[in-house]
Amino acid sequence: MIGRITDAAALENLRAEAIVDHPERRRSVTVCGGTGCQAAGCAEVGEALRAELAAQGLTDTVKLVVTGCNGFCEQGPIVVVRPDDVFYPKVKVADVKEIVGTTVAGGEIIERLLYRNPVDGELIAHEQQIPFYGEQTRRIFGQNGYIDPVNLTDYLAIDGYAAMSKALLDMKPDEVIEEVVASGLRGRGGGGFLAGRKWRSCRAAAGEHKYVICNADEGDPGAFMDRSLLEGNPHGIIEGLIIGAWAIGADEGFVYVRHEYPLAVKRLEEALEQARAAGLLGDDILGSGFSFDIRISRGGGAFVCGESTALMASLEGQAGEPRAKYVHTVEQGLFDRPTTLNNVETWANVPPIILGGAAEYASIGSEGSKGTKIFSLVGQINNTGLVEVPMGITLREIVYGVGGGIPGGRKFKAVQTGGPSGGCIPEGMLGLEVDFQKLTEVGSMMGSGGMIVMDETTCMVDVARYFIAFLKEESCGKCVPCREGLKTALDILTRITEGRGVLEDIDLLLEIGDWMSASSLCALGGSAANPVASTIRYFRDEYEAHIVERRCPAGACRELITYSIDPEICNGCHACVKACPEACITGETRHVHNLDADSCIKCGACLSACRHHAISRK
Amino acid sequence: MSKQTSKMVNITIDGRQVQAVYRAPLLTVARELGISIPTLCHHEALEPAGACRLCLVEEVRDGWSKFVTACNYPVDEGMTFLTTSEAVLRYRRMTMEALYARCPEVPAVRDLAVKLGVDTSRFIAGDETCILCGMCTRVCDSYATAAIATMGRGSEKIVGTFADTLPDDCVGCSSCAMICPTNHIPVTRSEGVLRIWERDFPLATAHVAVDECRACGACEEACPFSIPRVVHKKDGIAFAEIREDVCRGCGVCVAACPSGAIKQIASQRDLPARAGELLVIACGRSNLTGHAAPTLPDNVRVLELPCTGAVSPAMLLGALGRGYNGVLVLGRHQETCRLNGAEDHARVLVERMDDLAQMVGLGAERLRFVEPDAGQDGPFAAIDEVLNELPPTPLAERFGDELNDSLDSILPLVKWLCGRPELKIAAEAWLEEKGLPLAKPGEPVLLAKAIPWLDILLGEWLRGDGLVDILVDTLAVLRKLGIEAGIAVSGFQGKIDGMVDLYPGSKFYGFCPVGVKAARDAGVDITLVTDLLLERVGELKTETVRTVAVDPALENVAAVARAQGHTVVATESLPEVGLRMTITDGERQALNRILTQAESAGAEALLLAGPRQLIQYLLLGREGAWRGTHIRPLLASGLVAADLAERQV
Repeated sequence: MIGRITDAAALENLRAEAIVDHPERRRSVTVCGGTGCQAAGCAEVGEALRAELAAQGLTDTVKLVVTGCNGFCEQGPIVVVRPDDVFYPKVKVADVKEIVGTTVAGGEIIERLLYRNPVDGELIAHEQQIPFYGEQTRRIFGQNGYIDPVNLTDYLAIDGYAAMSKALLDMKPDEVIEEVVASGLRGRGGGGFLAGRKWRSCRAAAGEHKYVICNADEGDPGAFMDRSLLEGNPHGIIEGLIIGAWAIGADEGFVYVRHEYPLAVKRLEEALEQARAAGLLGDDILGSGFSFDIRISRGGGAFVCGESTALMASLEGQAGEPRAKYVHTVEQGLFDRPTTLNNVETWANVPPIILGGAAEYASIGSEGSKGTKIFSLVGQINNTGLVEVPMGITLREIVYGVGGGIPGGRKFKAVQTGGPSGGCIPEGMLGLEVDFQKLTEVGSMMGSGGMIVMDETTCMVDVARYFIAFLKEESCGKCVPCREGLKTALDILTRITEGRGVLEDIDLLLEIGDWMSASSLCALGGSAANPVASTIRYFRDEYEAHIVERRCPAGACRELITYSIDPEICNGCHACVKACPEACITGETRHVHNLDADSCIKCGACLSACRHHAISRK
Repeated sequence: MSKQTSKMVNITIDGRQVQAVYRAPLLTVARELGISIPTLCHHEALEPAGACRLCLVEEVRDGWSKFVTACNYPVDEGMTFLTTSEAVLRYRRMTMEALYARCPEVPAVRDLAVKLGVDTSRFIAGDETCILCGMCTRVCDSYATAAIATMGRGSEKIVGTFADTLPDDCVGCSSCAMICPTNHIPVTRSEGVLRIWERDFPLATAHVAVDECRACGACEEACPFSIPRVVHKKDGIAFAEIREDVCRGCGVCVAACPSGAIKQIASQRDLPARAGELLVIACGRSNLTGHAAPTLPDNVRVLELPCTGAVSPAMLLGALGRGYNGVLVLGRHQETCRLNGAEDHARVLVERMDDLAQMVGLGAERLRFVEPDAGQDGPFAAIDEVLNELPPTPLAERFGDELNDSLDSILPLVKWLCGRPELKIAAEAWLEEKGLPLAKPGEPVLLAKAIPWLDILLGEWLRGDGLVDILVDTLAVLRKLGIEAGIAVSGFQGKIDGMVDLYPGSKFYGFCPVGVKAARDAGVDITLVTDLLLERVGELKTETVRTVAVDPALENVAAVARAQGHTVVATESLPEVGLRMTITDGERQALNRILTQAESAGAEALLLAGPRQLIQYLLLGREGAWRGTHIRPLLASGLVAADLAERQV
C-alpha cells in the first residue's frame, strides 16, 4: 500500500514512476471482472489465466489485470491481450491455454475465438475496431478496461488525483465552482440540474458543517452505469468528491450505495482504504490544510431512496420517505445542514473538467447539454451493454451505430429512455438528438441513462403496465396521489392487457397522470405518468386494439394471444407435444397435430420447440 | 418558524395583496385572512407533512404555474397564489376522489367529500378507516415515545407497532387516538384500565377516604372534567364521591384536597430523597426514564406523576425544604394531551408556590412549569436550560418532619422556612400586586403577619380576596382614625421581635389576638385593632344599621358592633381549632349550625375574632359544600370599614 503522500511534488514523483508501466502500454492480459461478467463465469477464467501464465513462465513479464466493467456486457467473459488489444469475447476456461500460448506469448490471433459483427458477419480482432467501442466517445469509461480498480498506482498513471491536486493547491474553492459552472455539467442522475449552480448555492448557504453525497442508489430497472463506474474506477469517484467538498466547504462525504451492489461496495471500501493510507483522504490532504473523509452507507432495498430527500432520511437512520423540497437541500439537507448531492456519473465527470478545463470539456455535447452520457443500452438490440456517447448524438446513431441494430432483422418500434420516469420514443423520431431538453420535449426524459430498445414483439401497453407495477411496488406511500393513483392506474392497465378495458380508461389514465404530475410530493409520483402518457401519445392504436378488438398487436399479452398449429406445415414430429406442460396438443406421429386453445396456458414452449415454424402466435 | 425574524414580505393571494412573515407557511397566512383551504393531515401542534395534498394551491410565475402544498410552503417576496383556480379545484377534487374510494365509510372523509362536491369515485374501492395522514405517528414521535410508526411501503403501508409486537415504548397517553381524524385507533377503558395497542395501562383513578373528607368541595371545583360530587346524607354526613368508571386519573383533585383525603392508585407521590439538586416532576407520558431516553445528569431526580395536574403544594415546597435547588414541572402541549386542561391547574399552582418561595427569601424561579418543545429532546432541553440557570439553595439545613398532601402538613414547613435565619423575607412584590402600602420606619405599621403566606398558600381554596380584605379594611379604618399605616410582613411567631429593629420609631398595630399577645410577650409595643376600635368608636359612627351575629365570648368584637349601633345576635361558640387548616366533621357541623342560627336571625354577617377563624370559615364557604350563604365573615375592622368611603379595594 502506498504510504502518506505529503505534497504535490511527491504525488508527481509517484505518477512519473507509475507511467513507466502505463496500463495502456504495458504487456498485460485484462479480464473484465464486472458483476455481469462474474455471472458469466469470469472468476474461473481469471484463475485459469493466472495459472496458465505461471505455467508458461510469463508471470513476471505479463501483468494479469482484473478490471472493472468494460461495458460490452452480453459478450462476457471478456479477455483482452494488451497492448495490441486483441479482443476475445465469451471466453471459456478451456480456451485459456491456447490464448496464453498463441496470443500472449506468441503474438498471434486465434480466429475462432474472435468477435463476429452481427451486422455483417465480419470477424474483428482489435478492441477499438469493434463498432460497439469505436462508435463511442469513452471519456469517462474508457480506461476502465485497462486499470486495476483497486491499484492506486494504476490510477495515478492515468492522471489520477492530478485534478484534485490542482484544485486543492492551485485553485480557490470559488474558482473550482466557476470552472464547473463554465463546463455546463448537468446532473447525470436524472434531474439534469446544472451541477455548478448547485455547488454555488451550497457554498453560499449558512452553516459550519456541510456534506457532499454521492447518490449510488441507481434504482432504474436495467440501469447499471453507476455500478460499473464504482466497480471499475472507484478512485475516480473519490477524487470527484474531494474536489466537490473543497469547493463547497464540506468536511464529510457519504456514498449511499444501494444494497444490491456488494462488489461496488467492496471495491469502494478498498479504494477508500488506499486513499486514506496515502493521505489523499483525512487530515491536511497534500499539505493543503483541507481535511475531508468519506463514509459508505448502504441502502435497504428501496427505489425511492434514490430521491435526494428520501436518501438523506435513510442516511439519517429514518425511513426512506421524501419530504417537501421547498427549502432546498443545499440549504437544509442531511441532518438539516447544507448538502450537495450528485450522482456517481456526475462526480466522475468532475476530475476531467478540472484537469482539462471547462472549455475542453464543453467542446463535446449539444448547446444545452455538455459532455458525454453513459447509457445502458438493453432490450431488443444486438450490442447490449453500457455505451458512452456525446450529448447531441442521434437516437439512430446509438441504436444502429453503437447498438448494431435490432437482432433477427426485426423492425424497430420504440426506445424507452429514462427508466420509470421516462417515456417511449417512436421510430419517427430516430433522428432526435439526445440531450436533456430534446428528450423532455418529446415526452420522455434523460433520467439516469436507461435506454431500452423495443421491436414489433413488444406490447406498448404492457410496457406502461410494467413500469406502473414497478412504481407501485416502490412508492413510499406517504402521499395520496402516488399511493392511490398508481394502484388504480395499475388496475386499469392490467384490465386492458387482459382484454377487459373500456375506452374511457384511456382518458382516465391521462387524467390520473396529469393529477399525479401536479399533486405528488416527489418525482416518483410526479413522473410516473410519463410511460403511460407517452405510450398513449404515440401508440394509442395499440391501446384501442386491446380494448375494442381484444387483440394485442405485438402478440405479447397473454390473455389476448392464441397459439395455433398450421395444418399446411405441421409434419407431426411430436416435438411440441413433448414440450407442452399442459398436454393440450394432441396428434399421432406423422399426422397433423391439434392444439386445444382452451387449455393452452400460452407459455410458448411449443413455439420454441417446433423446428418447422408450424406454430404461430397471434 | 424562527421567532427571531419578523422580516415581512409582500405576496398576493387570490388577487389580494398582503404582507406576511418571510418564510411563514402559506396555509397560516391564508387562514389568518379567512381563506379556507382544506386539510386532512395538518395539525397546529405538529410540523406539517404535506402528505394528503388536499391543501394544494397554484403558485403563478412568469407564464407558468407550480402546484405546491400550502401547509409547508414558505412565502417569499412577490409570490402570487391562487387557492381556487380551475386547476386547483380539479386536482383537489381528484385527491378527494382517491381518498373517498379508499375510505368510503369514514365520516370525516365523507363530509369533506360532500363539501368538495365529490359523491362517487372512479378509483378502486377500499374499506379502510385509516387515511394514512400520519398524524398519530408524528404526535407520538414529537410528544411521546415514538412507539408507533408506519410500516410497509406504497399501498401496503399501515400504521402500527414494530413488527406487529406489543409496543414497549407506549405509555398509554392516547395522543394518537385523540389526534386521529377517523377514529382508526381504538382506545377502551374498563374498570380502571386503559387499553390501547393491545396494551393495558392502569389508570391512576382517584379515591376519596371518606373519613378524612370534609366536604369542602375543593375537588369539585378543581377537577377539569367535573367528576367529583359532594353528596350530603340525611344524618348530616357529607363527603365527596368520585366515580371510578369515568375518573380520568389526572390527580388534580389529589393536589386540591386540603385534607389530603384523596388518593390515586398506581401513583407514587413521595419525594425522592437527595438534596442540592433539581427535582423534575414529569407528566408520566414524557417517558423521561424510558429505555430509549438519554441518561439524565446525576444531580437530577425524577418524580413521575400520571399528570402534572397532580402536583401539590407539599411536593413543590417540600422539595425546596428538603434542600432541592429547584423543581421543574414538565407538562406537554395541550392539544396532544388526553387530560387536556389538567395542567392548567399545575401551571397556576407552580406560579403561586414560586411567589411564596420568593416571599420566604428563597429567590425567584426555583419552581417552574414548562411545556417543553415538541420532539423527544424537548423535555431534556428544558432540563438543561433550568440546570444552567438554577443557583444553589440558600438553605443551611433541611426540613426533617413528615410531609403529606394535606394543608396542615405544609404549614409547619412554611413556618420553618419563615424562621430560617439565612433567609430574608421579601414581600414587596406581593404588596405591590395587591395595591397595599409598604411600611416605613417611623410611620405607623400594621403587622400583616402571616396573611400574605396564607393568601398565596390557600389561593383558590378561599372565596374571593377574603384575607387581603382584612388588610384593606383595617388600613381604611386606621386612616379614618388619622393613622396612615403601612404593611409590614413578618413570618410566623419567629420574626416578630425583629420588627422593632426594622422599623425604629414606629407604632405597631395588629389584628390577630393571638399574634398581638405573642408580640407583647416578646416585648413589642403593639395595639390590637379591635381594642383601638372600641376605644375610639365614637369617631366611627355609622348610618347603616346592620344585623350581625357573633359568639358572645368575643366580648370586644360584640362591643364594637353594639357601640356602632348595630343589632347583635348571639350564636353558639365557634369551635377552638388552633392553627389548623382542616377541620373535623364535628367542627364543620358546628359552623353550619352557627350559620343557620345567624341566617334565621336575619344577620348579614358573622363576626369573627381573627384571621384564623376567618380561614376556617372561608374554607367552608365554598360553593358546592355550603349551600350558598349570604352571610359574610367579618372581623371587627371589616364591619366598621363596610361603611367607610375611604375603603379602597
